[in-house]
Amino acid sequence: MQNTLMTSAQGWQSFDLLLTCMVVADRAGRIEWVNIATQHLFERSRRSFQEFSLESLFEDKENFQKAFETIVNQRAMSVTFVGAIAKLDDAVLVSASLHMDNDRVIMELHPIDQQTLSERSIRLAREIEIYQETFRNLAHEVKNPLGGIRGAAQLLDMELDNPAQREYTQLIAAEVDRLQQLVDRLIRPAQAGLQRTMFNIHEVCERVYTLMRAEYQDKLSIIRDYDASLPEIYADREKIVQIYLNICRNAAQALLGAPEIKSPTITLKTRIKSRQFLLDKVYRQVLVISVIDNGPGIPNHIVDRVFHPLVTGRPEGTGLGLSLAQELARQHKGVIEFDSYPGRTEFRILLPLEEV
Amino acid sequence: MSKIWIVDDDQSIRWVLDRALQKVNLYARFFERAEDLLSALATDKPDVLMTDIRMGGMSGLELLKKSQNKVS
Repeated sequence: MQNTLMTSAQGWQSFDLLLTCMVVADRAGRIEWVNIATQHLFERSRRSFQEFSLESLFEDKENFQKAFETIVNQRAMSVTFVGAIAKLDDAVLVSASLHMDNDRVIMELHPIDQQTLSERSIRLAREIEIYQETFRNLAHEVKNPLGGIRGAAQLLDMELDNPAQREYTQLIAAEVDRLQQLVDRLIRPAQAGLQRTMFNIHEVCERVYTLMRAEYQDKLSIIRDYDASLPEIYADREKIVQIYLNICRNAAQALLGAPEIKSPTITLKTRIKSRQFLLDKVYRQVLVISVIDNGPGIPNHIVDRVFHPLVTGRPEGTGLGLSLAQELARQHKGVIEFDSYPGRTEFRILLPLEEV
Repeated sequence: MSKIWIVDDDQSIRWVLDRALQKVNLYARFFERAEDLLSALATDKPDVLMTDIRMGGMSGLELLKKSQNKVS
């Protein structure tokens, strides 16, 4: 083995000049040589790769095995796949390409810039966090003067004999209560902790489906497209219902607000995704719950802000539904993302099942 | 007459509470900061203590913990 490494090095040394990670192996997949970039990526010396196979570099063997077989049996000149490489207690997502060069397998690894991959979801979550924080502080500042106003109105009310005059004080108190409720809704999500249990996500899906049916009856069609094999999730069931329902109601309201849509339809879809990057970690398995509608799409002027509190596309909307949903997803270390164009809007709730 | 001590950092809340209590002939002693109430405990003791929770400086919960040590 030592010998092979030495001799093959003669031919491959120019790879050391590349910033791309290059790994050379024999037809059986045994590693013969790696370039400097690869040593840097794995933080291991060239020699330490000697006893290893290409396959052993990957956390998820399946994609690699398929690609390797294709290449070795010469069914393709080169194959590219996405895999996760194992690095100490860390996993790094890479785009890997395999090529045959005579009787050698050459593998190129390009670490996928996780920043790019998850930039949007991280940005979303951070924004929500900042907004929640700002609103919480603001809400507490608003509560004190509201208490003062309400108390003064009550005192004044007690001193008035004329019922016509007391209408004024009662209006003040009632409007203060309205503001108070708004403020409470802004503060609430962060307060309650999570009550986690193990459950099947489809119980939640079916409950939301039933509620939606009852609420909207035959005003829209709901298609269910479930992956029945999904494992159970450990989460706060009521909060997941709330997230899901908020998103479904949003979809329904968007559909009903657009009478030009001929057959308003919502599709509820569940899937599993492996090797998904969420917020700041790679998860082995992530649950993806999608709500797809054939509505007009999110108006352009709010598309960047749909998760911000108090942003709404509907005159009667509170703008709290999605921001609350995003906050609850974040408490589960998940994220809600979306794509939207006229005729198709998809919101996806991504919830981690298992950490890498 | 029972002694009521109230701490709240908000002037308007103190004003409203004062008026409301006066209506039922109760006269409370008001403090703007928890720290002020705590030092007053060195010389006197209330029958009832009411406190705001979120305040600049010492919080209401902290005040309750510290005042229990002082009076018991």
